[in-house]
Amino acid sequence: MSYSRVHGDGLRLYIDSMNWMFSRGLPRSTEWTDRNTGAWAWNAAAKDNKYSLIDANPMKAASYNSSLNPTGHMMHEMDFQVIADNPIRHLAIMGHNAVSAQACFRLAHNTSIISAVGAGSTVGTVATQPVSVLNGTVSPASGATLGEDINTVETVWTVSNGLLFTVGELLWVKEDANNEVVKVVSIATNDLTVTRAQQGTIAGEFQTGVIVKRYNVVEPATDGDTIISFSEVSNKRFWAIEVIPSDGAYHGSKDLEVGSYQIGNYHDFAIAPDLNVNHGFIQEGVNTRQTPAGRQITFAHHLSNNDSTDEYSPFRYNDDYFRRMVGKEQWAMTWKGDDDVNVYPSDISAMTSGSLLEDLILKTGINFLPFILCTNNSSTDEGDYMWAILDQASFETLQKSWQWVGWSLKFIQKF
Amino acid sequence: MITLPTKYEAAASPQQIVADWLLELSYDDTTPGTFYMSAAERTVTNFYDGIVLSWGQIDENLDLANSKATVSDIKITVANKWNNASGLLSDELFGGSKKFINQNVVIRSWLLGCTVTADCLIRFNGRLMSIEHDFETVTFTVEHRQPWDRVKAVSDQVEQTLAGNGNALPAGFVGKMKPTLYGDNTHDLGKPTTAMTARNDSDLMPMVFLGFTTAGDQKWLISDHELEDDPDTFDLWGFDEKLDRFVEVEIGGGGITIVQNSSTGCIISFDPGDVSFKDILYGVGTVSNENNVAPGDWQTDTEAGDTDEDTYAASSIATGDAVGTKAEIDVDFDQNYAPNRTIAGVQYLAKFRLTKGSGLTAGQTHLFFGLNDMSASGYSDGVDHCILYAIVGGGTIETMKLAETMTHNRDVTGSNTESEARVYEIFKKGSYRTDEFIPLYFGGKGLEHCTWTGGTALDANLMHRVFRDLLFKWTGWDATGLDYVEVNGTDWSGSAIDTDRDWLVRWWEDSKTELEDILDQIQFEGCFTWFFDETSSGVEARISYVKDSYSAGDIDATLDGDYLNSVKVKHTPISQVVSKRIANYSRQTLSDGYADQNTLTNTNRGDFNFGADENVVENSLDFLFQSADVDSFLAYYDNIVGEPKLIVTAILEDPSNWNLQRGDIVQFSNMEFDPYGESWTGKYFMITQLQIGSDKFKMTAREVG
Repeated sequence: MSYSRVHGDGLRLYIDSMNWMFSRGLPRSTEWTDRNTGAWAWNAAAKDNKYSLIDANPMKAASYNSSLNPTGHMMHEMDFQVIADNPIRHLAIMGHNAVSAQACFRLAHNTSIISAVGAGSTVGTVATQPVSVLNGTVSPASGATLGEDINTVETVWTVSNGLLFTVGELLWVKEDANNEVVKVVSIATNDLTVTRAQQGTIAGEFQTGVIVKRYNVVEPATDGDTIISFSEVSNKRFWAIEVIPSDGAYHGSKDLEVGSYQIGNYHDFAIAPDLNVNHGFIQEGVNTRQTPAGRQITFAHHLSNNDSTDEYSPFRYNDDYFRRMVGKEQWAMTWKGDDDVNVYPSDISAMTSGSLLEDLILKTGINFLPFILCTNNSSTDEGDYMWAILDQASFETLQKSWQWVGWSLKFIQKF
Repeated sequence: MITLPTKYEAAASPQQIVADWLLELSYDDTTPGTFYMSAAERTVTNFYDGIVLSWGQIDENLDLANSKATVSDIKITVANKWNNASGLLSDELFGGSKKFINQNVVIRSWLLGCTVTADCLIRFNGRLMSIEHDFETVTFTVEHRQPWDRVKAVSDQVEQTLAGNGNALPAGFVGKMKPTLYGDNTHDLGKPTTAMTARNDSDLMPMVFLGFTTAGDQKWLISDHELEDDPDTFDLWGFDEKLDRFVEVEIGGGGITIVQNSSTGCIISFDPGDVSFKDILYGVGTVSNENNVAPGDWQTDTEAGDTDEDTYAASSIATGDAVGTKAEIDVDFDQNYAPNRTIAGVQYLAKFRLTKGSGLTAGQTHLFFGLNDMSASGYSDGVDHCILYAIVGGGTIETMKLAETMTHNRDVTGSNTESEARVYEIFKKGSYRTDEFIPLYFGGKGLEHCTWTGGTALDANLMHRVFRDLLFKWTGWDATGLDYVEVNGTDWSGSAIDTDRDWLVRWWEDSKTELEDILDQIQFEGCFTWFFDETSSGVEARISYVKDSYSAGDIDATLDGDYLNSVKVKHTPISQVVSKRIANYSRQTLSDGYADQNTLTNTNRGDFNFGADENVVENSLDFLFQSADVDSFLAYYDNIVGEPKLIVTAILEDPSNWNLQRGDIVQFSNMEFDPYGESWTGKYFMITQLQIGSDKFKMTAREVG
């Protein structure tokens, strides 16, 4: 339990690079594309489309018709149109019901279009896997093991339960020093036909009983919001999010819903904000009027981030929806001073990542785009994350001495 | 709903939206071109200079109570700065080499992500009507432009070259406009219709006399367009001032010569010596129920001679009545017929019906008209017929005794042998000739098929088709094809408009008239609203009307209360409620009055405390002429304004809803409060007003189901 403590130097902002690019003119219609479309479909509501996934509105979820094609991988691709200086190191999946719908997620990048399932380079490596920041397991065990000994050339692998897999999946087996990723080409009961040595790995030998994992995917632990981080990749133009059945098939009746996907960089503050840190709750949904007789009449237009049971602001999911905190949450922080290199690039005409100016101010348009505020980057409590927007129309710094500037930020919950 | 350009739709999805308008001004000099302006410099193909200081607001209205759609004008203020910094903008706009005044203006909605103008959504088409400026600013007044603006219809004057002798039009016909006629204006010459009963006035269309040809024939212009069918069926009438009523025109001998019948008009000629006139004689005969053989009898026998062809005398012969049972009815006509015409012959006519019992065969029961046995003449059992019985010789009307008898009898007995005879009316026609000039009127059918693209196989006889035809005829506006006009969001051909609005038109006009007034009247009577699509989205115009009922498939959008702002609920203002509506129809040619009247009183008017004379509206209809259609007209507006209905206003904050337009059907969900305590569920609302700004979209919707 964190008790909403701002954790020393653990303050982190997860910024959306896709919407940043869209806000600067990159067209969504051509650069955000559904892939592998023959194998899956959307549900019919107007909100059920690719745009709902990137509309910075996680409370409006898009619904896949995952029960219709229970083994099809649903896939979307982002073409950033840039091949350098675009650091990506997190994926957030907000407002999902992936556990109920039995889905997990893979993020991949490439220098060219990623149109096929399992294509592109999955984020992380066998040596350095992505980190599950919140609510998920990276490279989860499939539940199946090898049912036979495998040599370095065999392409038909017998596993203990072939029903747990789908065509196109990347599987990871590890035994001693042997680390290999294979791609499922076809499935005949418990016999998987695979392509060996994928994702830069080398074909190895494995014995019966070795655990088969899903390579570098994240499988959420509960319905809600999930974040993973990974080593920075800054020079890849094409990125793909692939939805994979977590159990060999999606749930037969519960369709997958996703509020928003977010991929982008994150910004760690070099130092903690100064005390005093202001943290509060603003109740904008309540109006009290007074009659001429002095009686007060109070109208509650809303009490919490959403009063319905099935919609919620990211990171504030609660099975007991009536226990969702009321009002809008707000933080006000001041940094009296920090090295100016953490705030400014050396040349403001050539913005560089790592500076607060590029990571936050540039990419959010100050108060235009929301982002994820994390008050403790090692916390796995949802309450230490907040879907937020800057509650200020300007960003000002104060140079207090040579190479030393101070600034203030106000964050307010977005819904 | 508007079909949005692909990139616009993509850009409209997010909640964080960058929106602006783009203003396109056209100019016309030796090299016509366009200028573009916006609130900031835009990376759109074509240069957009950020000089707009103030966008106005576009108000789009749909007045359901009057079936009229309007779009407001707009004022836009820009900095008085020329984008190439060479001087003041005002220097170029009016006094410079380029003429912007009265040129086309287009306003496009631009969202970030639109890279060419085709990606943007056209919100407004207008003309630059006014340019005002001071040193710092220029203000444009842009008028929303409709094809019918300042256009007069029926404005083709009869050319002198059409004169019979090729030289001069006859006195009294110089300067006349060529009449135009739509719908079926025929009047059954075999019997008098109710509308023609008195015949001292009618809805017949005046023809234009072009004079005599060198051969001595009379030459007449009927219409400014081609007429339907064989001109031999033209239904010509004259107005005989001596009789003070309309009389049928019969042209024997060489008949009618078609001088022309084409898209430029219909002209006929005939030898005046071949013309005779026929006058239906009523004089309310004396009806006698006589010579009956009991129990045969005529009931309500006077109906057979009361000049009302819808009421009838009836005779029933029942099972068991004896052979020879008989009922006889005489109608003796008034002999005081107009003395100023010499009658060359008289025709007797009767409208009747004979219904035989199942036990009877032909020839076992009879209805005689004089000596003519109707039951043996092949007239269908149980069906109304109107027949010419006999022609008697000439002489003046004063000297003739006019009487006719109908007899219902039987010559067989037994079970199931009942029969019924009806005599609606017995009347007669007198025929005469005259050398006097009788002005002619046309009672035939108007334009047969629509002339607009995609409509040439459609009869030009329904309100919405005539609307489109008049629009095409007088403005040249034409859609790419039939289905480029949508009806309630559906392609024209797939819509229900031909069945929902199968109301026949009878309309003519022979004087110069504002086209907009005519089109407004058609929309009002036809209970539909026409408006043009501003968007270039593939639909070029739209028709909207309130349907009798709605179902889930009619919903264009369900608006989520989470994304609505400033929601207010009100009801139809009491001043706008029409608790009783009177419709006058069948416009009369000579008096300009209306022959018929239908009324609808709202069944719940007492619940709203309306007095007998309160909130009563009287309308005069120029296009509808059938009583049942007028009743449908009354019912349509009663559904809309007969009682107070819910009206909802709200600001739509979600730009993905900005594709809504007037006439769309919406429902509400997830609302903060219920309207007057009622449920939102199951209620259907039609959008009747949009107030659109560069970054704002406010809606008014009215309960329709």
